[in-house]
Amino acid sequence: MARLIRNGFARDDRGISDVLAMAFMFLMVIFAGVLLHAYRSDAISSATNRQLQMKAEYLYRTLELAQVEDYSISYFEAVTENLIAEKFENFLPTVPGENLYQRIDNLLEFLCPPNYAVMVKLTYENEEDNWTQLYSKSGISGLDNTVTQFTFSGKVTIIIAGRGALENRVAQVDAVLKMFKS
Amino acid sequence: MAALLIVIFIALLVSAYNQYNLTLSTAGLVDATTSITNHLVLDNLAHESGGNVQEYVIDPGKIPSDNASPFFMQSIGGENFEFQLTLSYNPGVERVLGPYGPEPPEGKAIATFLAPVVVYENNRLEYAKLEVKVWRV
Repeated sequence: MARLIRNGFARDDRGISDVLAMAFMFLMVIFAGVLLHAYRSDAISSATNRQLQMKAEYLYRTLELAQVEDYSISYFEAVTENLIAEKFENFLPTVPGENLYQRIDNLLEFLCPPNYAVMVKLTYENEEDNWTQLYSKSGISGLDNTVTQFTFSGKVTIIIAGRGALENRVAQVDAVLKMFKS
Repeated sequence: MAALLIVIFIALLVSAYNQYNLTLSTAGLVDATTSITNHLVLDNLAHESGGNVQEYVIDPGKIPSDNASPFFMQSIGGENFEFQLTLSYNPGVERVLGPYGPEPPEGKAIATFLAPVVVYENNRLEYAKLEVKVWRV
């Protein structure tokens, strides 16, 4: 009798070990599916990040080369003049600071990608002498260090022509542009 | 049950392969857009002054007016791409030049890139936006 019951059980029903093996195989298939779908899934975001890095460089170059409206100097040159105005005697910047701030804001409003913020910082000699301007459509107040930043930096050099017996003077500032999601 | 699992696995494999191809194809198109834009800004459309090429400065006079010009086709990595470009500047009274180049086809993947550039016009360097739409031929 016991033999019959054992034979019947083996033929018709499954034991807990069979159920566990199938559950394990099922989980393996699910896991393999997730892995297969995740393979190289970051390719698009990597390509987009390369584009954003290039955009940060282009934005920097635009500020470096484009001329301020109604003037013949570039935005970065105008900022540099404002930065060094206090250090150089009898030197007045070509574009007054308050006008320049608004014009850079207009430029960034036109060129900044949607959902991104841009911070422009130019520093002369020490960290205290700086021009920092942040543009964001969402109105954030500061640089967010927790998100990916696309940075491009360089130097801006201007030569101030000497008057009378004074020699020409050279001023150089560090410029950095950071673009990040806001 | 085992047969069902094998069928599910094969279905997942096919689906993952299709997704992999789509991802690589899209990433390739995005990279091609970056490459074409870079080539336009640094070389093909760059303003020349006194024999020197001014990178990042676009000369609108260099854009061909013929939309069927081979200028709007580029081969990258053995693949052929076509593109259309539009230049917009002067945000006060926005001026738009273009679109130049063939019309983008319907039903195909198109990548668009908006690049901040400088445009040379009337002896001035103005900031502008260059929009480049790229698709596979």
